[in-house]
Amino acid sequence: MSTKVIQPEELKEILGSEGIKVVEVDYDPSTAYELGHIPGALLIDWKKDLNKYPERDIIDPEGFERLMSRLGISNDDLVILYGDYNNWFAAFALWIFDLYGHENVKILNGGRNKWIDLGYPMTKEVPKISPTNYKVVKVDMTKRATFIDVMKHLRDPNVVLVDVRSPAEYKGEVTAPPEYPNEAAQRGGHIPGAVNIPWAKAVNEDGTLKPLDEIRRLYEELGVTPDKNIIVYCRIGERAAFTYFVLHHLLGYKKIRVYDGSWSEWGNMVGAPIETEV
Amino acid sequence: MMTRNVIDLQRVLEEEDCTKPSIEIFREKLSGFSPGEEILIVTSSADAWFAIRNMGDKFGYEVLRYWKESPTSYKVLVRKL
Repeated sequence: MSTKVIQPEELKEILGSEGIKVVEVDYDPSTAYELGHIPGALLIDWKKDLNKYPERDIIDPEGFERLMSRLGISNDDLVILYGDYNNWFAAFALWIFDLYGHENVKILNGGRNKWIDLGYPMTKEVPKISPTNYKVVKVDMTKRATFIDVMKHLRDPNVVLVDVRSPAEYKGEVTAPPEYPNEAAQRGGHIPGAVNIPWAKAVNEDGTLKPLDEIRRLYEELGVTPDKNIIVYCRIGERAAFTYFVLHHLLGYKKIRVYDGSWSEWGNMVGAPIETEV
Repeated sequence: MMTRNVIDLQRVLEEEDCTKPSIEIFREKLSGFSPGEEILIVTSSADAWFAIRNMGDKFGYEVLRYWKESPTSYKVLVRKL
């Protein structure tokens, strides 16, 4: 497995060590972190902490500096991310760490789900934090694709668009459930030419990652090969970030970008071309 | 096990090809039961299992029992208040 992955049993052994910060990244802390978390874990609330307001965008480098400083994370800390929803939002956070140059970061294999399954300790105690003065020293936006980037490369044989949503979303049968009003789209379907490889194909039933050979075969058989430029998308970018993690950090794909606007942008954009057939 | 009321979260997710969170489905299904009824909740997610065990105060039920049946099957028996 990659050096970017830490197994639950390894984490259990090093909990509380100097220079290691464990961070739970949740879409909904009220049904996750607040009910219990790994002892010593800090919280990143995906909606509040990794997104800008009022405009729709990810946090900028200054926002990332403020977040890291508030959480007491230093530039040289090893950060171990895990979270709810099969680590989707932890993977999104890791992508942001990549954009802002914090390389010493890992994902907990299987996230909250596997930790709980193993019966490892959970606590409601929130750790005391000593704020730091974190500085972003490198920014790399080559891992991000915008709506315009995607439009420019529609039907480009050197670019593979990977739609990691469920087949029903890909076909346009499902857009977003009413519980997610901010993720709604006017239209269903997928970006023309996109290949559908749901994020879940890379994981076992318990949410842990499948063997690398199996994952590599899955993508290569569908034309997602390391020589191509890859753009991954989903509905709001979090499942795409998970597949980005798999392709970039596990399989070593270099030319990969996350289109974080994803379907909640594309499916609302006037004039954006859409396919529904498989 | 005498309980006839069952909320099988995994089956709902599969049958409805749902992108809803398990907890949201649980909350919706739970609202269809009356106070005093016992309900067995079945889930394949350890995370959802943990949440259901700890959300009785918020959603109005008491947890009577919980157990892990297999690595992908977790159960909680609750009584609606």
